[in-house]
Amino acid sequence: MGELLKAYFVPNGSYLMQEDEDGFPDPSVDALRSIGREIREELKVDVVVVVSPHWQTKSSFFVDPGEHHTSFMDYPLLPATWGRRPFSYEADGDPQLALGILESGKKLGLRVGTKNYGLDHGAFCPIRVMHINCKIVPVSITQRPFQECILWGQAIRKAIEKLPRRAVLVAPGNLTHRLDLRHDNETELFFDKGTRFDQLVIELMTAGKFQDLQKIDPSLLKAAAPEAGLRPLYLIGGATGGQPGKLLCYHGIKYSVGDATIAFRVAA
Amino acid sequence: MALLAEFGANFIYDAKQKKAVLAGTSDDGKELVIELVHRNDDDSHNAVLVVAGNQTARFVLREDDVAYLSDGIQLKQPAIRIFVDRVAMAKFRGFTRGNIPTPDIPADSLP
Repeated sequence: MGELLKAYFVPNGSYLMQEDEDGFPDPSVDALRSIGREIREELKVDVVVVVSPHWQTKSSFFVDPGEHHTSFMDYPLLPATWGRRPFSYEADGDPQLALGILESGKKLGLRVGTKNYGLDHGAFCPIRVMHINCKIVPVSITQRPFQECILWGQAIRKAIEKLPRRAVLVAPGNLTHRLDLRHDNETELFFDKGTRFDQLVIELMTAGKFQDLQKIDPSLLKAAAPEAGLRPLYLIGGATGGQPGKLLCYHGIKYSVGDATIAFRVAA
Repeated sequence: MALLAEFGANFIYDAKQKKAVLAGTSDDGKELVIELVHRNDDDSHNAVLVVAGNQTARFVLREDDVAYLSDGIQLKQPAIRIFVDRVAMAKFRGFTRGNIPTPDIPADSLP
């Protein structure tokens, strides 16, 4: 009945909302806007399932079944160093799909639950920059093992396919995510291990080699410290059947933050 | 308030120590601080209550132990009310429900 039309791995830094609003040129903002156009005009999506990399429960996978979602600002605000202006977002939910995801997760043997959570910036930042007006289902990425994240992706897809929904999956996250090293001197090259890590992950994802993510040199992984441990990509692999992705944008910024935007088709 | 002076916020996340700190005031004007020092496997938090600079209680905080009011939060046990702004309150609520915010104090790794 329903269909998962596409999945997107996107950046979620709060700076993107500020640059979008200010009209500051940024390739990642442009990429998010182009995804928004695709969602609105080509795919004609009913609902977006968004997996926040900042919703990191340990016990179980969670989905928010609310009728309506409001955001909260889980990022530093100005005038703090690296602070941003306050941004907010609201969207209607899709309780039926949310509960369907819960049931699909249970059937796959996952520990799952519902939670009144809302939208953190990991979820609402990219959605806001996409300028879309769809129903949203927020789900957690968790700190659970990678294999469970793959199953969680499969659960999301199965639930979508049981309902008359045209849906996309948005799973934000950064590749290199060394916030402790970042600085504003954009004349300096991106740090070496971050460059190597980001290039490697992009090569794997554009080749559809999801299983090779677990073969990445642990020391390189530790140095890059990717957001949520690359779990958003494991989840996308589960949801899409591991199709090769199309790199829409890569922007290594502020010395140590790797913004990659990758679109994935869904295996039949 | 120390947090407000240093970070411009009444809720911060310290990624070096992997802990969140909420600072507010009691109804008699004392500074109250709750430190969530460890997220347990069941998503509860080991918490420390500091009143006027003195550690007064260690407890386990679950998300249902907190009521959100218009001007602050009410804990069940220890039964204490903390006056705090809405932005900090919302970040605290999110944190008790599994959120890991962008850190105010970054580190070489995040969960």
